Amino acid sequence: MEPRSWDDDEQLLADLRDALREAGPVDAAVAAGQAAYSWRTIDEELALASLVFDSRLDAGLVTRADSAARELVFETGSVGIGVEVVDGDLLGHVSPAAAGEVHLVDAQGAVVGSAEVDEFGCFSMPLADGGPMRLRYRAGATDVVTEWIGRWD
Amino acid sequence: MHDDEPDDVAVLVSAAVGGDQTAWNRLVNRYAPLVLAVARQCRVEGPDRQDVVQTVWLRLIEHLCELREPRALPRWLVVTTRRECYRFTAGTRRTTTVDPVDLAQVAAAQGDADPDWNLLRDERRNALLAAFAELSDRQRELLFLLMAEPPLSYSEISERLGVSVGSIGPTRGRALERLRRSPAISGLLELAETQKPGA
Repeated sequence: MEPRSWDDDEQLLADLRDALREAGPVDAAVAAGQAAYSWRTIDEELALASLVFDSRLDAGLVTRADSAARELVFETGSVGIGVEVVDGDLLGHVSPAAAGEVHLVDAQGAVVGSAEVDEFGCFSMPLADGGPMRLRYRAGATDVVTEWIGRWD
Repeated sequence: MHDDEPDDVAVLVSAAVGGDQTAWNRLVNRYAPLVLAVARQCRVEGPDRQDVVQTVWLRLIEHLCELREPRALPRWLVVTTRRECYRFTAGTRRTTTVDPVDLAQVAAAQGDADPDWNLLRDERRNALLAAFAELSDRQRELLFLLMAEPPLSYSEISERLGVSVGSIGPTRGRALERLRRSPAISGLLELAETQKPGA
């Protein structure tokens, strides 16, 4: 089937209508987008740990026996946070290892999980469900947030 | 009717970076259909689709100031949305290693009957939505009314927009011409031209 020509005004408008119809109602998406803006200033004040590895996307790069576990690695210039999701729990490790605390925060800013980070840099917490979440790690002068992850498990 | 005012996406992006929530809201309004359409093309529906869309906006906030070239925004949104969708769907499907940025692989992994045709259709729709997002608010408003179901008469449209009936035709023509001239669309049209048999 040949795509129809857009030289014709009627056809162009009809195809635009189809495209908008495929997108569907936008209200919820627009509301979520507008609310997201409140993170702008908060983000400016914190170091952002970028997602540098996601086993779900980068699985081709490693060979693993237990492919069920999701692994995520975040990094700033000076701090690394690695997380494994196993049976509904977040098992994490920060480097360099330093005792502190880590919180899981949802898109509304609510803390939905907290854990102590021990002197070896390890922590674990149950994974809360629902919606995009990010980790915030604090230890001494270090205060970083990870990129948002829409689905952790 | 000031339908040709330069109410550029670039201006909205830099205003949003500078702290203007209204500019951000207008960006979100304009690009929500594109993000939603891409998620649907990736077969992500319901609450998952809402989570994907929310994640894309949250990521855009983090990366908005790095988008030095606002022309890159639609492409960034498409790629980010596809990647987020893949995070949702990969866990629930048999995992095959694909590059989520490569549409052909995604389509093949999803078992599309005719991936080439679906890809072409999706690319064309996304290009249209990206181009539509770049029109001025007045032009967008007019085209929305012209696409209404059931159709509205020119006199109803003139009443709603507060413009003369005589100006609707020319404004419509200019809006559609601007759609065609947008880089997203003209790129596709050129590509189609080179792929015609005998070209």
